[in-house]
Amino acid sequence: MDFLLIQILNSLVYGMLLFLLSAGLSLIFGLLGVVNLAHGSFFMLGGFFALSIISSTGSFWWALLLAPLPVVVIAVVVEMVLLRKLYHRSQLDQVLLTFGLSFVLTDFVEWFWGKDLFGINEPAPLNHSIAFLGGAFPLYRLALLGFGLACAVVLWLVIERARLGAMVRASVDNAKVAMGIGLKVPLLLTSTFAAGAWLAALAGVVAAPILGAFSGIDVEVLIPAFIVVAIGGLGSLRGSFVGALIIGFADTFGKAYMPNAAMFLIYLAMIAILLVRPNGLFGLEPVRN
Amino acid sequence: MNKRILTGAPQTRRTVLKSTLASAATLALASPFVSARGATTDPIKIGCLNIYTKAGGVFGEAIYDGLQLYLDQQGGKIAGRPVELIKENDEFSPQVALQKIRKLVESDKVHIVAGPLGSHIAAAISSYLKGTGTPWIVTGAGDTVLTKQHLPHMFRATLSNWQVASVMGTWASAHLKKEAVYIGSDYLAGHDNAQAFRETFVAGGGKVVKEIFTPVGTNDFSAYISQIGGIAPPMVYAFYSGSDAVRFVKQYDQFGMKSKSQLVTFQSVLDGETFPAQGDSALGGVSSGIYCETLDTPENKAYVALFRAKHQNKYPGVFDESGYTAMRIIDDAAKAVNGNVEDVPAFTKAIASTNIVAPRGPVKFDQITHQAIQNVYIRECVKIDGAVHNKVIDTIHEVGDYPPNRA
Repeated sequence: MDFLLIQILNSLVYGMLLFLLSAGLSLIFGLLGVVNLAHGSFFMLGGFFALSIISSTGSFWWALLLAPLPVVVIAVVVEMVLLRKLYHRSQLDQVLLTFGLSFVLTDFVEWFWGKDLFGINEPAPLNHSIAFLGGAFPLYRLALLGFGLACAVVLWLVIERARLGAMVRASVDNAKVAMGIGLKVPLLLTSTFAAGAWLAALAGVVAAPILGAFSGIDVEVLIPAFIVVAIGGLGSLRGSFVGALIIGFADTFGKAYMPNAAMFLIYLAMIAILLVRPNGLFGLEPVRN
Repeated sequence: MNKRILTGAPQTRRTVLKSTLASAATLALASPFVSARGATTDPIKIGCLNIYTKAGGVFGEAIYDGLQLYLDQQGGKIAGRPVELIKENDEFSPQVALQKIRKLVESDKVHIVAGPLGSHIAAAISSYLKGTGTPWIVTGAGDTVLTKQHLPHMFRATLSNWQVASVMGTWASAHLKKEAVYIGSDYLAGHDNAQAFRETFVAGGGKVVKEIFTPVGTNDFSAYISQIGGIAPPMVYAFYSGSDAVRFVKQYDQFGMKSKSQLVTFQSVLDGETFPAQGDSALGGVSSGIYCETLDTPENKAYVALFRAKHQNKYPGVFDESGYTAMRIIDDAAKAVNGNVEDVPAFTKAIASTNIVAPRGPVKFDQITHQAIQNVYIRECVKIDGAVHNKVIDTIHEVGDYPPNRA
């Protein structure tokens, strides 16, 4: 029973981590209709900027606050200069752009910080483990669980309830009419892309004490993020949340009972769900026409 | 197709005469440079085929840096000849590796190949290099079975997985505990390690209670660690490399396992390359390896000083030393043939008779399998001057190749 409880807790924590990873991707796709293959790179940059901020200030909390900001700046520049020109083009063009961008950003990371493996320590009050069912459970992971839940709630409020979500969706659906009724369309589009990048970078900072920071991590997190978004349904934040939990449980329990097949189980889950619901669990029709 | 491209200038007698004269003039002018190969001032070319990007890149770069470090120490020359290091990225893909090795051997005409890191890359290029007979010094790939082929021109100047893992099996069963759980990466090297550790651990009276293999690139080990916690063995043997090694050790510590099950590992799990990211999580871990940066010998002290003069904020790791010693072996062998590395049989024989004291200790080659015979050190992670280091707590001398390989 103890074993089961610990694995349930592990599943929840891993699920929250996956949700944080995929929230930014889901947001950008859901509201803008853009498949952002540079999502992993924004995640990676968040971790690396946190590394630099921590080595100069010694504080994880400053890193949490400030590290996503340079990533947002990069995202804003990318959106205004490059991506905006491709909103009317096919999704393939957007994919190619963001894919190329990911190569550029990876090279930048290797050039600026190097190819070594880096780690970040958990911040001071959270770097203990609490006694739990005969073993110890890292406090930081519990904090991650809470943080993920908090983010989910805030995102849901902003997108589903506030007008902001509706405004962005209107701008994407029909920019001319949206502008006609007074919406500042370019600002909304740029802000949405920047928000998605901010979420990715924030996830990068928060995940760094567990996953580390190194130049291949962008590819490593992109795949689970896409699986979560595919399962949950492209464009649905609620779907990402549920999808992340499903993968968290499938992965953790798979590892516990079938260690050799663990990775395959995730893909099996994805195939099974997509066979039954091709648009994902809570998927809407694709945003773009 | 544009027809104009296909027809050239009309062939008149004038053009034929002109072109003949031009070719003759070129040949005459070029002939001093097209002298017989083996002229003593031609550069010695070394093909450095390895992984230089993404995961694994840091190790490939370390090996290349080691080669360069020794070369710089010799003023860029070996046996009186300048040296050209040709760097090619195998991108950890056997297909790309085959393309690049063909380029190095046939187009660049390298005299010797140094590399690679990936065992699957080594396997892919070994039959090609067997065909061309190009001297080859393996600097990273550790799969036990590579030296079973008895390739006459191949020399593994680094560890074999069996050497390092089997020593720990014997040592741990004698000095630590008699029961262990094995956990490692699910690829060739992971299974190599499991077999080597199990055979000698059991021979020493120990018992491997469970073997767990995790996918390469696992980012969350919590499920596996909780599982091990449930079994509660007195000791855990782990094999990981790169980011897996960093994460496993950190998470093992975070789940409070260090005080419950002694962690013993392969060289790559607790080493100079992983300490900066692992921090204090690494302390108390015991590993076996062929090098230790705190080795208290004159050769190592000189090498570490040389390395730190170039990289102030790092200590050398296994791969740095691997490149450095590989170049030393090439240098000694080239001197033994008076610089005439084009004489492949003599050059190969000279490499085979290597008998040096490298920063890692004595190194010579098994005459049948060409595996390096060297010391394996039992190292413990401790804090020295506020930084995490490996400290040698035992030495097993002259560890040779896997006995069945010699058959």
